[in-house]
Amino acid sequence: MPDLMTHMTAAYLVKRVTFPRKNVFAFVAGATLPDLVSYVPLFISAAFVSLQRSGLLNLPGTFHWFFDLHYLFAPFHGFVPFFLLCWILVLFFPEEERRGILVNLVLGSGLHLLLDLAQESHTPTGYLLFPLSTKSFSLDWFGSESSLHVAPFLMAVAAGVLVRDRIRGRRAGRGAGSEGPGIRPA
Amino acid sequence: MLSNHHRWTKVLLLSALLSALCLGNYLATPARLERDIQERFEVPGGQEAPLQVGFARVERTRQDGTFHVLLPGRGEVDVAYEGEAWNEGDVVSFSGWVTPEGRIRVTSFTVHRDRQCKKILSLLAALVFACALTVRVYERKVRKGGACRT
Repeated sequence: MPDLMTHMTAAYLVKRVTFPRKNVFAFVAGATLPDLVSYVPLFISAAFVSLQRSGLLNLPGTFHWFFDLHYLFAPFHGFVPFFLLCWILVLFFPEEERRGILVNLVLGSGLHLLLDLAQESHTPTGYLLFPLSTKSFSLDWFGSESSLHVAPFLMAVAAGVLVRDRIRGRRAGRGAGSEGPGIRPA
Repeated sequence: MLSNHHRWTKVLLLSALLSALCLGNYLATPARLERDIQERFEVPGGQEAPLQVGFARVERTRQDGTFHVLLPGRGEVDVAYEGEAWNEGDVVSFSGWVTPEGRIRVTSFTVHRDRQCKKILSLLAALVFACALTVRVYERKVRKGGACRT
């Protein structure tokens, strides 16, 4: 998988260029969540391995339980499990907003999976068709650390667009305020 | 599907289904990876594709040129490679054949030297996301509070 920063900034820019009006955050969250969910077990297993190595923790026979934890969340890189997660999440939002948020979460995750698919895969965890198949798919178009060369550029562009939008938003708000009461900013 | 009708029942059922899928994968994966190795033992001459191993950590290097690596889902395995030496602590991906002794004879590999940088960048992105989420929640609360007052 490319690094999370590339996923996040690419999603923000794609959304900003295509349909910038609503649910930008939901789209970015959709592109970020598959990896974010996978990082939790990675941190737990890394912490456990470090504790074991340093001798602070010694639980014989349990090493595999923690070391293999990332397989617990690997299915989130498949369409079906991630859709189920999105479905659960949107049920906590107001009813009238759910459809838009769900569509954007799913489209964002689609972009995430597309970027992952283009990258060369070293681990068999790209379960696109899970639970129908545990086959890992990849097109091997770029290396697993290649995104690091693009990430700074994407970060700079995304930050620039974000700051410009904020400034424009404030100006629009001030302009609308001077026009008199009852007129809301666009 | 998205209505408030039986909302909590839907949340519970979907969570149960998702947990079952994830837990099923967690429990089945080590056996599947082990079967992957066993299949390559059984037909030593007829192997069509080498064993693919991703992001293994080199634990120890030995005098005879072999390495002791920690593989996700497989535990500790001996690996032999004739050529460029790996260092202890390196993260490597490789493909190779399983020998009758249970070693993996590496045919091609990649050393992921930038992996630490990738992790730091991803962690930074996670922090940015968490901050953005906090701001969104705060804005939503303020908007709600404003709506209630008016």
